[in-house]
Amino acid sequence: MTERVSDTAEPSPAEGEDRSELDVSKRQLVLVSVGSLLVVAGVGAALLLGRQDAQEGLIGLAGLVTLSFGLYYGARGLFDAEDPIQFPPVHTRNGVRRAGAAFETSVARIRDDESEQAGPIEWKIETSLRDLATDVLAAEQGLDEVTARRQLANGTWTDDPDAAELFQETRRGSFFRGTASTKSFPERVENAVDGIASLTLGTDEPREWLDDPDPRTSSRPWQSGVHPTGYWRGIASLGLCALGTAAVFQASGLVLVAGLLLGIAGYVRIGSAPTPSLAVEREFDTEGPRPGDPVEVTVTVTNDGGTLLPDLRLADGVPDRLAVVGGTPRHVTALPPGESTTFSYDVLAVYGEHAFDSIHVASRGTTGQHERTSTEGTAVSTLTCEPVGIHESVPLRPQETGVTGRVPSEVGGSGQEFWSVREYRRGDPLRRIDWNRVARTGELGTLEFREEHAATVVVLVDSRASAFRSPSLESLSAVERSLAGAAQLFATLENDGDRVGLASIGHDWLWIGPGAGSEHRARVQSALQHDPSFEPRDWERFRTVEYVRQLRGRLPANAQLVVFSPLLDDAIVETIQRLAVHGYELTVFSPDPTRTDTVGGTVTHLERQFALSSLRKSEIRIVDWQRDETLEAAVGRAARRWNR
Amino acid sequence: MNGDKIVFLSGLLAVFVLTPAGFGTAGVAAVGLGLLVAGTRHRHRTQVHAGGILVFVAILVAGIRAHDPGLLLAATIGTIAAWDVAFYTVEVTTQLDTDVAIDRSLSIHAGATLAVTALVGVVVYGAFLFGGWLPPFALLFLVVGAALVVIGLVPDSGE
Repeated sequence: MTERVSDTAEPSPAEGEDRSELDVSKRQLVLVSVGSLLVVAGVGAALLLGRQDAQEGLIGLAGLVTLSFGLYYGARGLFDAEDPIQFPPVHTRNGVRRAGAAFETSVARIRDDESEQAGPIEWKIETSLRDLATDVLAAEQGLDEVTARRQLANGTWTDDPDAAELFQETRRGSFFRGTASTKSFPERVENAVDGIASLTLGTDEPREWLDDPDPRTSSRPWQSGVHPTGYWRGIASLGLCALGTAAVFQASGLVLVAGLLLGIAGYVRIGSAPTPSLAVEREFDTEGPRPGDPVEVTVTVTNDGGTLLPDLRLADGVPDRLAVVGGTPRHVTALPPGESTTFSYDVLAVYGEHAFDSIHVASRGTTGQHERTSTEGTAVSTLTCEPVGIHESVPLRPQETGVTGRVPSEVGGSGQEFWSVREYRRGDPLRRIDWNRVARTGELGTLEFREEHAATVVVLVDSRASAFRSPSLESLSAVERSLAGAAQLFATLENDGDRVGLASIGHDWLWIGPGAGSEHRARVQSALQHDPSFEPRDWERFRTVEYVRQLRGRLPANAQLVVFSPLLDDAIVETIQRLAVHGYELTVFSPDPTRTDTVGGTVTHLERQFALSSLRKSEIRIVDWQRDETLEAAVGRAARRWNR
Repeated sequence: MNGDKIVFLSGLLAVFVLTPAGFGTAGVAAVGLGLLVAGTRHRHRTQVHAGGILVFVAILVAGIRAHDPGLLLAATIGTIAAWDVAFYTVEVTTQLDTDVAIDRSLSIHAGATLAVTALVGVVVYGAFLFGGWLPPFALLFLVVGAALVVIGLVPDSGE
């Protein structure tokens, strides 16, 4: 559906003026003063016609003044130049970081900082890599910790001397920087990570590490209004320089150059930014995508006004939770009246409803001297991504709640799975009598089957800052995958008659107790899509003991716990282990946000593998949910492993 | 349309017409042209400004050496065209934070700049050829001075 978008209101003044009133007055004073001086010089030169020496002297003096002003304001214009108004970032999602980026940032700081502050950072990096290498040697080669550390100290764990040198005890941090290696510390780190990864991930070939820098940003954030762009800043100064040089050196040809430059400076001053009147249409190539599916968004913009828009810059308002994974939502074109332009890009579908309701517009005239920026509301286009039920049986643990459902209990009664035969009692239904026994022995017996009860399940979603990690900024983060997975699981368990609750793991955490029914379902779905506890954040304080204590205060005694977490830090592993120690039956669904083609990503990947291993040793069931895998496939794979 | 090709061809005009003023002058202009092209390719604003200034310095030196005024004008027009295309390309990429197709808007913008520059150049050259009884400096100082006074007193129409 098309809706007319028209910027008919007067543009509001930009927040934070580009120049203060004092600067404008000062600038006007200077222009009037210089202009008046030149007029006087021109009049004087005309009056002195016939007195060539005096004329040349006056002109030379005026030329020096002009040249000085030209150089001063030209230099000032260069140093004071501002970035253009930046469109709101798209590729960088607030709070979501690439897994391993923090490690790479620390290593990069060593590269850029040769001061003594680099020492503690180096020590920290070395220590964490030494611990990781020890764990890998112990797991892969069956070494005990002491032997593994000795190999690292001796350098015998690898054939790469640069990697070996990182852990050898001849180095003592920044105070003793004499090393045999010719490579820098960051290069030795890369070699060491390569060596560690080779022990566990296979391949002896040296890796080509991918450099995945953060996207650049401008210093001028988006704001609506009319702004001078400073595009032709300096052209008047160049004209004055040419004029001054011409006067000082009596170079008449440069007078023409000055005239040209100053003429252009005057022309661009009279230009203005046109007011756009636009109609915006938006289409999706898929209806009802599944979480993780790419969806092509096509935007058509029509110039409904009567004026040419010679420089129209557009950025579609992509909802915060959607990642752009193909193309770009930005576009620039010239649009005559009545004409349309179309551009398209791909987003990654995330569970929930996502409203596209705005577009950012920047319009300039032919000179580019001024820019009109605005954020325009458009007809709401909603991308809806619903969870799909899991057809694989979600393996829950045996329990009893007294409510009939599908979880096998340890109690005999009416059910489907044979349990035992007991003595007949008056009133037992005829269909449950064991007639085979009657035929064999003549005695009546009643068949008992394993009773199936409804499970009480609480789904916990790790939404702490450290969980907002993704393989790249164009991929879903672990939390986004967890929310989609939690929605799928909730739908499946609810259909099976189980009572399901929801909680977040974090500092300000959400709690919805186990329940059933349409109202409960709506509440849980709304929370998964909109609750602030699932929003990205930069940092938070999380105390494991306090969280476990508070959670236990709310959990029903017989609740099973399903935890969604990428397992990227010790705090979440400790939380899960504490809950297991307190007797709760746990299943962990762990979306994997790591990758092994960057240095930091590989370190994070290996650390996560040890976290999984540690939890498995505590007999906690883990569904290791890989990047390009549906949740259903991950559950099926894990269930087959448990049933071996 | 390749932005850096347009930059190169426009700048080459400036270098070519400055050659009669001396190889040193043309050499400086050529270095400036190289910076303009490199700045366009790498989306580097400082390189673009530095390139434009270098070519302008070469024009000033050629003017001091009494180079033909018409050729100086032609060199200036070529330099403005080259710098404009280069800076537009860099600025769009910086603002949108991505490489997008800019052919259409660049055509309109560069075309308008070239048209205005050429028109003003023709007017200035015509005034030079058919100038009146006032000495050129006196005339220009009067005109420019009056213009600056007016600019200082009249607010910017885009504000």
